[in-house]
Amino acid sequence: MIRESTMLSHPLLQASVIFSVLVTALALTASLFYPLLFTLLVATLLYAAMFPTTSYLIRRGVSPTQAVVMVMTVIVTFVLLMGALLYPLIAAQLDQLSTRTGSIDVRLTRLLLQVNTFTTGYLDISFNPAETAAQLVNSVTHSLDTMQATVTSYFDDVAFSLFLVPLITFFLLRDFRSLRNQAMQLLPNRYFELGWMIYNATSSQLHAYLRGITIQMVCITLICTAGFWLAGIDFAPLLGILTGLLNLIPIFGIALAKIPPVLVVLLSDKPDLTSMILALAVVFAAQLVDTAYILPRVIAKSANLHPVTVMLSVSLAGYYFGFTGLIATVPLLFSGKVIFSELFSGLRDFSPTHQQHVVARLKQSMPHML
Amino acid sequence: MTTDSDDNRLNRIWSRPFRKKVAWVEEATRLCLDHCLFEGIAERSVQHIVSHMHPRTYQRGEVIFEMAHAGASAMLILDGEVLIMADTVELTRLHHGDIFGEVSLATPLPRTAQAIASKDCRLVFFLRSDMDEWIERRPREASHFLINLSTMLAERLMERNLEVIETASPLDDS
Repeated sequence: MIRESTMLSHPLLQASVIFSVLVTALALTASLFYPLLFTLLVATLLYAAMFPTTSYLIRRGVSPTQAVVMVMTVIVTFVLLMGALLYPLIAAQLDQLSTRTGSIDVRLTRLLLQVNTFTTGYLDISFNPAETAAQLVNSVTHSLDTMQATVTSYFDDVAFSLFLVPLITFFLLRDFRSLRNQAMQLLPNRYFELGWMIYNATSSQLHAYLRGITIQMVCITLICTAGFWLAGIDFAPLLGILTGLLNLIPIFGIALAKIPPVLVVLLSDKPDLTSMILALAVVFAAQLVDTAYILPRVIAKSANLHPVTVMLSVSLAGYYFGFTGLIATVPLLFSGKVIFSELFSGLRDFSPTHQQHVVARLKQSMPHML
Repeated sequence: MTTDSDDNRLNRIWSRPFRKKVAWVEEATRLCLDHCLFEGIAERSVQHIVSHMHPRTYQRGEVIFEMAHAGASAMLILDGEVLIMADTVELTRLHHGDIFGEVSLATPLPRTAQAIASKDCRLVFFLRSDMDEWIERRPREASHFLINLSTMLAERLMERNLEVIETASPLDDS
């Protein structure tokens, strides 16, 4: 029997209610697990990135536990090595960066003098380097202080997570399936199939997206680190990681990713125009590789968000939640969009109106049966 | 207010999250091995795929799936009886060991009939996503299953055509 449709049974309303409940539950869980939030996010990203490799090994006949252990051994060794090598280096570089900010006005004046000589000689435009430097110093010093505090706390979080992330990723890879199946068993009979359909459609998109942004971040980080190192720019690993992370932000990322290398050149012992151009060229080249090769292959569908939505949410998240907010907004926004649209389309397919429509079509095509 | 069944489900999640339920897996494996859909597939593989299926219980009169709803799984009857109806017409009654809804394994098209539990039922759901995973992991074994599924659907189409031919009145020569 097909039930009559009421206002409450409208799929859009139902999807909105379920989505609001899910978001509230997620927000409550996030506030409860706040100290571990970063760790859980990194573990989830690693899980999404490593899941295909473990699946491949399982397909090749390796037992699930052995496959997870093999992949995790490689990852843990890599993370520990990187942590042991990179963390002291990055901490030292941040201290160095901090001490250099004290003499930024001198460095900036020196660089502006170079620019002034260049523009006066070739373009017949001149300005007062000392005055312009003084104006810029106030704003740059403030920005640098904020950036240093945020980045330091960010890397402290990373250091803390180094111990927990591999453990959580291991259990996610090994037992996520069992936990998910047990959780899906809680669905009422009426919504069991619908629940699985929505879950499968959502998870396949999110998996692909998370895997995509992880690959994108790693590629850009490696390209930039190598590029900065070859160009002789200080703090190459730190800048590489920062550029990799900032590049994840659509629209703003392209501009934001260019700020840290330029600032580092400004703060170097000999700030010169060539280094600045080289620094920008490295970021530009990495973004070119990203646009031409990485984006179309790994996260083609992620660009479905409207630019205004991205700009507003990135600005607000950056204002309220700082650096983490900037990085996490677009993946969260994309996840929300995918979950809502799949909920809506699943509930629409199960709505009485849709059912009546399909039955009418079936009666038309199979009159001998019905 | 939570019921005993809800409490049991929650207890299962917290107390034995990683243990497989062996009893129903063995029973379902045996039934699958006897079914034509799993013909030619090794027992070990059938047991593996069954261990990834999802057991559910239905009370008498409860709708298992509605006609015209999108389908995502086939169901194996462990216990009970299932009534298959198209609109108001009873098509068939299925019992212990029967599999129904298998068309959804082949295509995400809407269901062409309604299934109702005519007695209290224990069913095992075989999801299309689990089958897709099986195809990726063990393509050779899964291809046997797909061939069996196509044969079953082709035979059903043939039967239906014959029924239509038998019930249709012969055309006039003039």
